[in-house]
Amino acid sequence: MEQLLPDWAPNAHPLIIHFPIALWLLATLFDLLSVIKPDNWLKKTVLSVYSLAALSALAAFLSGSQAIDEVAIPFQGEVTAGKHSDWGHYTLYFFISYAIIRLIAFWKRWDKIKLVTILLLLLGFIGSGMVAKTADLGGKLVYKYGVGTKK
Amino acid sequence: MIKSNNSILILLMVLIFLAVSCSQRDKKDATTEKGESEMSNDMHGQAAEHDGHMSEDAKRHHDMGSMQMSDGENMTWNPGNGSDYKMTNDFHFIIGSEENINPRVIQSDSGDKILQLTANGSPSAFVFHQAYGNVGMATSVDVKGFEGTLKLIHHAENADNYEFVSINAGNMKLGRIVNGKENVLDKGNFEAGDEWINLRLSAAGTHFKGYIGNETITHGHGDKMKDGYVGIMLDGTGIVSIKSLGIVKLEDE
Repeated sequence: MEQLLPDWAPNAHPLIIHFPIALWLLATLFDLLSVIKPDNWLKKTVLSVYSLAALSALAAFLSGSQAIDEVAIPFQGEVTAGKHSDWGHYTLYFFISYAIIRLIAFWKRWDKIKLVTILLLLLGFIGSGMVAKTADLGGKLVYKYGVGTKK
Repeated sequence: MIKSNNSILILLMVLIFLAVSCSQRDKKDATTEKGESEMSNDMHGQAAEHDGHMSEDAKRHHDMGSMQMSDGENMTWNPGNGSDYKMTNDFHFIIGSEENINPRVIQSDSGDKILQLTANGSPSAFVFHQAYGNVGMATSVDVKGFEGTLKLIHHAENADNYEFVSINAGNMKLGRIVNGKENVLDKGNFEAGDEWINLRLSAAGTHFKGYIGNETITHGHGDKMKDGYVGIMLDGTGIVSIKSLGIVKLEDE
């Protein structure tokens, strides 16, 4: 696996983390459009993108768990590292649970009910907030404490 | 008409969400800046006195101790001056006493002052007078002449309640003693070598780590414990040399 990494990358985590952020935000945008203007194709797209976001969050979580013990963290960055790790856990659990709920809702056709679609969209926004918080802490680790900037 | 009302409702909700997010962010930035500025003040001259945890004993001895501020971030302890050095200026014992470790300050060939402890087999633990919550510790130790376990202890209340990172012949253990019962959070191995060992630990919230140099050897998780003392515990026989002991109060955001 390490041979596949570019020279500058200390581990796979920085290459993977952008996927759950981008995919989840894209999914909520499509979700918003699908609530405003319901469309079967759009609903399937939303479901697919949320599912892909959850899978990429799992990959980000696994690579992060490996990376945290491989990089040098200055003492003052330890609290942020711990919080980043905690929020990574919460976000992963939320994304996986949410993707499962969306699949069930699609299968049971609950997503035809307007109130359900609005509630699901609101939950999607909460997911966006969670991934933003995790990303914010990760960015602080890199840009404030220099974690992972040297191989 | 109903559809259009729904759309307006959703757009309004999105706008509220964005507005709340932005205001939270502003609030957070202000708090963080304040926290960072306070931390910077602490580290530039008031680290030993900043949070009211310092005991009367510590205050009495503060001027006599060997605490030094090094690079504006760390508080570093180095052994005091030769023959009249008293360990109790800087530490107090929660297990055993000075007689169990016979402390003396020597000078290395390079001129560094070194605290040399000769352990007689009875466990002893000495800690700084100040209590800490989230904390980082770093020490430079030589254990070549020591047979037994050296522990960096933190969140220490007494002999039966503390957390530790221990080393014993290339094995590291991360854990805690609660009401006298040991709970090991992680174990690891490292190459001991013949040189000074840079042993480090961090306790940040529920995350605990033990390092040799910059390499993470142990990493475990557990409930956050009450603030407590930090120091060193020896359980074994032989000579342990300590060049320095650095302590960093890890700030919450």
